[in-house]
Amino acid sequence: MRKILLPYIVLVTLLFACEANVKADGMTTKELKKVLALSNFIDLNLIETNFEKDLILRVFEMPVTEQNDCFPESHGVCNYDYYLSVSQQDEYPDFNVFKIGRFGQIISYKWIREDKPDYAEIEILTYKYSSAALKYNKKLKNEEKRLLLKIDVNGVTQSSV
Amino acid sequence: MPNIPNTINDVTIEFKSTVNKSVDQRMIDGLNHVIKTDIASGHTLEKIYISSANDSHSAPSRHVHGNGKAVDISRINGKKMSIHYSSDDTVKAITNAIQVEFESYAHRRENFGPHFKKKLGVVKAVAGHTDHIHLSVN
Repeated sequence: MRKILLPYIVLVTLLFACEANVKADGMTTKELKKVLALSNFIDLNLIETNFEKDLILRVFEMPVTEQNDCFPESHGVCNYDYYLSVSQQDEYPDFNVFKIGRFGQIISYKWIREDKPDYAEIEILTYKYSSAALKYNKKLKNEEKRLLLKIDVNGVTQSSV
Repeated sequence: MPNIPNTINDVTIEFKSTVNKSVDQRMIDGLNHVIKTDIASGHTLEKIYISSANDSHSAPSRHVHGNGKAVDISRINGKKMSIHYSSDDTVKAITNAIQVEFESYAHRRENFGPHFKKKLGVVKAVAGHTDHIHLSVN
């Protein structure tokens, strides 16, 4: 019976895993300080588009300093934790911050046109390792993944493209 | 982008000298929807004063979002809301009527003023706005 059910259980699990809802978690002050002090800041509103952007989106790319298994005989950043701040555009905007995940590195961002107010879709290309790690350690096998982030102030959902 | 005209539905529009009148067409359509001489029964609207449009603000304000999607109106018939809203029946009636009417505009977004403060039709607790009406559009 278990053998018959197992593939279905795996399939259902995978289906749910494809669109994880990445909600804002309560950040400690220490974590917040770390993000603000150490992150690379990427302003997604500077991405050139021929349409208006209804949200203000900022990415904080925070180096993960604990791991070092990809820089033998040295120390470097193998991957990053990514945080996304989302704000509506108002006199008193609604806003939020989400941790969108740990990736080797997000290599590119593409703002997809959507004519819904207070909403955005961003397509990202991710590497399994940071660009610096791939350059330093030629033995690393990279994997590219394209993900679609669907964003509003209440949440971010991710799915594979 | 279109400019806020000097007259809307026979109502004179005055501007603070720093106002950038170039705004989104939806904002102009919103003003056309609410600025009328007979907006408040028993009172005549002759003139409004716009203290800010696509200027004087920075992101994330809707004043400077896109082509300019917000305006502030601070005087009715030459009288400042800050002084006359609580004591002048006409100023109060017209201010209230503008806010109420704006709620029926399809693209209305923020509607903050002495009468009430709503965003997308829902009451929103925000400070200030006792001396002007802030109207913005989607």
